[in-house]
Amino acid sequence: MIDANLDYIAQESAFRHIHPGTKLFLALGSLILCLISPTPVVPLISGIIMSLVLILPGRLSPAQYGKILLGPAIFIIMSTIVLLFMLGGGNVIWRFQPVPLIDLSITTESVRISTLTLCRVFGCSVSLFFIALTTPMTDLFNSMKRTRVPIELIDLMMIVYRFIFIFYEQAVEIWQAQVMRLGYSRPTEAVRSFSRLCGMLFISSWNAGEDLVRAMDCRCYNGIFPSLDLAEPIKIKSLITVTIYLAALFGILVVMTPGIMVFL
Amino acid sequence: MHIMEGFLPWQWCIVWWIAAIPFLVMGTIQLRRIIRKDREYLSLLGVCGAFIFILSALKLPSVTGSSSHPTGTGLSTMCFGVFITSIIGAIVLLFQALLLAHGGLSTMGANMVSMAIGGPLAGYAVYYLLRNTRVNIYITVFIVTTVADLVTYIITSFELAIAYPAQTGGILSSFEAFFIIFAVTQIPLAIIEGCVLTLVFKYIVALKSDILIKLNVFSEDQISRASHNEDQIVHLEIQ
Repeated sequence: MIDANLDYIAQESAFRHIHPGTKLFLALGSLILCLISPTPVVPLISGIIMSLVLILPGRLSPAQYGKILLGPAIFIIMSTIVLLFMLGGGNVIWRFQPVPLIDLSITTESVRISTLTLCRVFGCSVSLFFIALTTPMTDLFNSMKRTRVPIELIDLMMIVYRFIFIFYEQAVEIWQAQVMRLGYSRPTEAVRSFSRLCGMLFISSWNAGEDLVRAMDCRCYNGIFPSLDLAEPIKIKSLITVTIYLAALFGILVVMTPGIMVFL
Repeated sequence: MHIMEGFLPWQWCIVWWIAAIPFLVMGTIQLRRIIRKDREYLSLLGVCGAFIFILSALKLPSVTGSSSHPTGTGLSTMCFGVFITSIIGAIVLLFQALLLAHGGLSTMGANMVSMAIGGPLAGYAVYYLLRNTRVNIYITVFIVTTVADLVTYIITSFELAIAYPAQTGGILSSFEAFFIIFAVTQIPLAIIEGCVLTLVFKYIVALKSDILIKLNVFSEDQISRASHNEDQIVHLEIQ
């Protein structure tokens, strides 16, 4: 089920009224810098700073933020353990050979790559969360319109977005009714109940689509959904702050990467 | 099962985005053509996209004790074809990243190639081979959805393997390791998803078969034959 809907948090964010372009510039800029960084320092610094920005001036509850980070954290810890044993190169730090065919070893190179991956996932995930936790989807649709994304795609996204919450409520209601009637008490019963839930959802979604067509026709739909763009104008002060932050992060990347000066 | 934000090196993010873009372009062109022909398809596709998003957010009952989420792309590829499914899949992946923190933007290309392109492409190939044969439509639906799911997992394992080749054995050994880890839970889950979507299909045939006829998923004759068989089973059960 949907445990945490980030869009609700974005609507309440203290950064809600900053121009989406500035927020996207900051988040995508730091995401790219974290991604290309060959050292774990840059994503680590970016992740910590962006988290502090979200919690302190962004007024996001630390408990809520921790809960959001927990999902990717479990996955990345498991993946790092796999990488630690699978990758090789360098000197062997630790070796375990329970039976002749199984040889588990950790090397210096596997530790380096695993640490880099761990920090990169942290830095990039926080950058993604920055967009998700500060910019509501409606603002992103307006930004897409300004960047000339095909209008059909944006309209399709808007319909999908509109109906996600309606169907989710329907699904939860059916789910709860089924649970109350012991619909998930046995594995075979669970498969049958779940199939009925999905089947009913598909049919009701189709009916909702047909109703939407009629409703749009009544309102003279001519292929374009006009929507009100209430974005605040770009503020030079916030844009300069973001540019300085990204330039500083890039500076750290250059300093920490031997050999990068050759390309610059 | 999506690759999370930042997990792939940047070179592979670019490669998978480049691989996904032609499908997105083709999907957009096809979407534009369909909407011009019949305006009501936009809203129908929209609600189907929302349906797939909700389907992928629901926990699938699992016999292995773990839980996973259906992809729903098998059903979509039979209803709308590969290119439209790639567009719907891309939108679902974007919303999953931004609303649920599943997947990511840099890894969206890789996730699109596995879930929105590779899986549906394999599913559609099976559907194309079986749709005009005498194979029961429910068996066709089961095979299509299971294959689409399994191919999604195979491609994801491959994407991870080429990004992180093992020291001994290289990409093949790494692929083996990732696939074995996923296979423990994902093969039973793919089979369960096949069963679930076959039953979903059965309910659609029983309650609103005109949707399937309108979308030309199966011929009117095949659907009436399937619903006739169901009536006979119900009749026997009552007797």
